[in-house]
Amino acid sequence: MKGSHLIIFIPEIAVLSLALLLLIFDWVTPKGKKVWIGYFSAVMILVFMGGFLCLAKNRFFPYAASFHGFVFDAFALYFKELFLLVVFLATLFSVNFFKQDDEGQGEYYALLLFVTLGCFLLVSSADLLMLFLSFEMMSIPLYVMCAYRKKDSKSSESGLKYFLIGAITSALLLYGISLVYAATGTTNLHAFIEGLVSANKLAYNPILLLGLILMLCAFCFKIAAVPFHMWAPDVYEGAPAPVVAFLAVSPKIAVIGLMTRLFLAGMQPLQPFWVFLFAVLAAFTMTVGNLTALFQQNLKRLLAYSGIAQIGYILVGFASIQPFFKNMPTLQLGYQAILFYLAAYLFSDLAAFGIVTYLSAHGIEDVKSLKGLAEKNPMIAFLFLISLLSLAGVPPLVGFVGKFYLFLAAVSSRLYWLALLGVVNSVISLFYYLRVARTMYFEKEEGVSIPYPSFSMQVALLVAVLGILIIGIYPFMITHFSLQVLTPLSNVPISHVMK
Amino acid sequence: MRFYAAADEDHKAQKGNIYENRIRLLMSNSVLFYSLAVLIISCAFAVVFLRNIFHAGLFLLGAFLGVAGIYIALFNYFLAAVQALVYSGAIAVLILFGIMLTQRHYRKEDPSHNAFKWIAFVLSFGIAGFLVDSFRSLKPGSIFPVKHLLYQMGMALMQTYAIPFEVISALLLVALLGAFSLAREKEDL
Amino acid sequence: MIGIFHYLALSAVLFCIGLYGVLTRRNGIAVLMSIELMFNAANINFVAFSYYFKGIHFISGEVFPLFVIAVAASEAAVGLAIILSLYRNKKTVNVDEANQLRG
Repeated sequence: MKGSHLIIFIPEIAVLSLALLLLIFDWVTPKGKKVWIGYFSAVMILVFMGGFLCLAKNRFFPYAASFHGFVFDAFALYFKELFLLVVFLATLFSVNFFKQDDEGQGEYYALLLFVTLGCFLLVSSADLLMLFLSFEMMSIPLYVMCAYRKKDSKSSESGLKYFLIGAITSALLLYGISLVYAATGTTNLHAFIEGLVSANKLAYNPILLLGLILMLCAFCFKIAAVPFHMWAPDVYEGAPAPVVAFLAVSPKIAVIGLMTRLFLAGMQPLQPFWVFLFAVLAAFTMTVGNLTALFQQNLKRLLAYSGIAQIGYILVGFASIQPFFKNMPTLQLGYQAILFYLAAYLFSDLAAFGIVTYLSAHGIEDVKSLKGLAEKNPMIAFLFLISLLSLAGVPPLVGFVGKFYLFLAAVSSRLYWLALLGVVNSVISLFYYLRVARTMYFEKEEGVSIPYPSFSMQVALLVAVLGILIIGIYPFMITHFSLQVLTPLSNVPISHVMK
Repeated sequence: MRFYAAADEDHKAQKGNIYENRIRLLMSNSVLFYSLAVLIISCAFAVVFLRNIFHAGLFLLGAFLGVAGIYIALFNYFLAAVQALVYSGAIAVLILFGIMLTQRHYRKEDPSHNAFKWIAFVLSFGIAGFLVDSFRSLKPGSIFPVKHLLYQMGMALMQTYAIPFEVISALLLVALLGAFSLAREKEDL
Repeated sequence: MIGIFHYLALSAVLFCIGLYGVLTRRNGIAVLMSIELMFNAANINFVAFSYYFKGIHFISGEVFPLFVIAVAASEAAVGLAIILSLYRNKKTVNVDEANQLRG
């Protein structure tokens, strides 16, 4: 490895050094003056976002390069920008949530960045070892963050649940990887995929199939797809709200990105099998998520089930992936819809969770206690309404465009029943989102007004809601970008490895 | 390159008594394997079935040592040493400490297993049967150990797996940080 | 004669014993121990495959367990810290007694 190859690791190195720097700052800053660490982290993350965009525009920069199980390409960069956006917003959410007593702040922000590092590595990994390690890198700090309120037994309990589920997930993933290694003799994804493509009969090897199914189970656990979704509401309810905002978005996006890379790069021989599997998974995940959400009283649980349903919509995109046309990868509407919907999910979900964070800091955790919010604090009520409508998929907002693309992809690959089910589910979801809106706007309750959110929270909510509105009205900036991202991924010969 | 050439010559020189070697290897390996398998499986059963959690922890130590023995039977001595040192020496001891710290409120009459005992039993051993059955199609494979395995492992760690090697160092740092900030008695946030 | 099948059968049985423990044990630490058994099963798989099928990538199977051991160590450390912090709050480490979070 020459020094010049280090350039493809710049995003990872930047995030890792920022995390270490925050640890040092936490150590040298006297007690009681640590609030600035969060702001510093947020500013640096913004700088990184701009810097990586410039990096991608630099003509000396490799178009797509890989180094022994680590791939750098436009696809990975797209996801890395999304992760930076998530960690930026989550950091801003946390700044005023954690200000009361400020021990351990630097550690908290560093842990956020370590999770982000894990997500970065996950979408860049092209080796099963790298995949496993980045999966762990993504999960282990999150276990700690869920249990971060040490005096709160709910928080510890949520941490324990997330830890046990996560550890089982990694055991399943590891055993699956070992079986895949047994069937193909390699851990390198490129070699493995080429083997799959060249020897079609490998697909019917029971050991390989079992390994892939175990790996898929592990992924489903992480994205909380039905039947592996039971942990999500419990963990969300107990964990600190800004951690939930982060936990509900970043790891899910990372795992979806990894799955997209796997399928786009070469699970094509197993196509018919996957399409059926994903269609069934998507149908169950959407329906169970939405129907259970109808009965939830706790805001975080409501959003947990709504998040499960959102993942169901994304799985519709996986189900509608058509057989591969080698020279026309851009015709793959399913992939584009997935990439677009991830951005839509990011903005809508983070806006909603941002407001839940703000409300839970003022003791509001249930739908019932939202009564009269529109009078107590009209701005917050309005922002919450927008984010919920975007999650439901109401026209001028980004959620609508995302769902439109997904269902269009389903129709174009003749999965009419799935598209219809998706539309029915969206209508069902309107019920519970509008129930929250009705409580906010039409049920009066006298009470003290809630103070306006702090500066950091205002900035974060503004960014999220502007994202919902702007991308919803002008979606082409993301669709254009996702086309650019996908084209090289399927055209560049995958065995092109820089040694 | 020279290294491998030397290894090759070494191999040729031994080819004369290859048959004898093979017999010896097979004999010693099957005795070793079966005794280790019995040890591992019985320890594992003890881990999941014993009511007394401390005893279960001790049997876990036995299972880890048995797996180290399995690595010796597969001629990966370095991995066996790492397994014995890290798994039995660190992880099992850590778990035993965890058990000792949390047994103060232990109630003897509490059930140690939940109500799904039988469903779980059928499910997991059904999966085991299915797995074992699907392994039957594999060819037996070659039986000779690789020459200079440790050298090759070192090269792989420093070249092919240089990035994962760095990642694992960051991961250990995260674990240290997380465990420390949770186990600290002082309230943080 | 001992072939790959024997090692794989051993690992499959070990994995499923671990799975049984995960599904049935009430004590959080016991669940953690069962998960460690599952990790060990996967490690046996890696080493056995790489020993019996010496393909061009055989070395990854020999190296993989080293990383897995490090991951297992960090996971155990974090997990025990979480279990201890739950124990401090609720005086129990039983998974099903930690049931404040029900909708």
